Amino acid sequence: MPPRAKIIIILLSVTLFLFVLNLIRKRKLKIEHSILWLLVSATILIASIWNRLADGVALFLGVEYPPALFLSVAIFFALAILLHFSIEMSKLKDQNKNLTQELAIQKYLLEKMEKKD
Amino acid sequence: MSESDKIAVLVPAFNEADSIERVVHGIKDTNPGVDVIVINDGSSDATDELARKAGATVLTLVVNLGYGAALQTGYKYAFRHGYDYTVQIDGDGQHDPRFLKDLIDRLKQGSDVAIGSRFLGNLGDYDNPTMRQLGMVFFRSLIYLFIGKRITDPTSGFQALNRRVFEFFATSRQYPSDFPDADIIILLHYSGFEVSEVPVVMYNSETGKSMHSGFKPIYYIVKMLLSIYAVLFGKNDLVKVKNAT
Repeated sequence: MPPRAKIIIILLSVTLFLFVLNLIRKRKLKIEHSILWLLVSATILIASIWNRLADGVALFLGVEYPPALFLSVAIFFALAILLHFSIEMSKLKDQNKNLTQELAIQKYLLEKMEKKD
Repeated sequence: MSESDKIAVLVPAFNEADSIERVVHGIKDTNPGVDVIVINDGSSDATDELARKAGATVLTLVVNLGYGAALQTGYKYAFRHGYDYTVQIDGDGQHDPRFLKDLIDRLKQGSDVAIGSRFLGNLGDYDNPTMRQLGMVFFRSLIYLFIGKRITDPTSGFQALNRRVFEFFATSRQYPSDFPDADIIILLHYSGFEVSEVPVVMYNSETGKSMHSGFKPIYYIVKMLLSIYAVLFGKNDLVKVKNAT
């Protein structure tokens, strides 16, 4: 990798890492959700500093063009995070449904009580 | 129906201001003694006010959750308030409340679920759109395949349940938010519940909108198949129920 590109990628991944840490500090990101992102930024950082690691893995897997491997892994990570979001969303929808139903019942009971008073 | 039975008639309604009063009065007039519970599914019109004025208990969902989730609200309410039976009737006036008694009678004869079928016994001439007929044949065959019993009207929203069944629905994570259908009939069968049909008269929806309109048929079929897959191979709440009975 040309040194200029290398420096940019290292800077970007360090920034992402610090950004995620800062979000945790400010309580804007739940710890459970941060772990995957920290892992992703750390992986990019390691792969960009230690070029030969990526080359070695590519060679071992029989991938002739190492950047292709890098891209595939990146896409896989992105998909994993998206699936994770879908799972979380399903959970949220379910909780939201239960809350709304409960609210409807409680609201009715409250109205009935107020009418009696 | 004897006087001692506590019956909750559940009416899920989404923007049914045009018909809801008539539906509530229709139920009360033909079935004195039942409690009518309208579940207002986040309507933007006067559905809740009109239903209350007509003498129904109104449970209002602050956001629109869908037909299934609205019904489930009714099951939760009925379960907590000690009802013996629930009957669900659509808010658009397509179900004839005079048949409510027939559904309850069927439950008393030992069924856990009584489905009002517009195709059984040819009581009325219900005009059935072709696209819908195709889907219905498909789901009928699926149900027959899995439960070995002919259910002629699996999409019917006119049903009566006994307490065991609506307790199960009230607490089940599997009850769908949109449209309970063939998948739920199969789930009920595998949970050890007895499902049967009763002939009823249905009219074409008075307000002109079908619940299944706007549904992409292919999406609907795929969804149903996945749902059946989840019932057959998934982590089911039904195990709990089976052990309890």
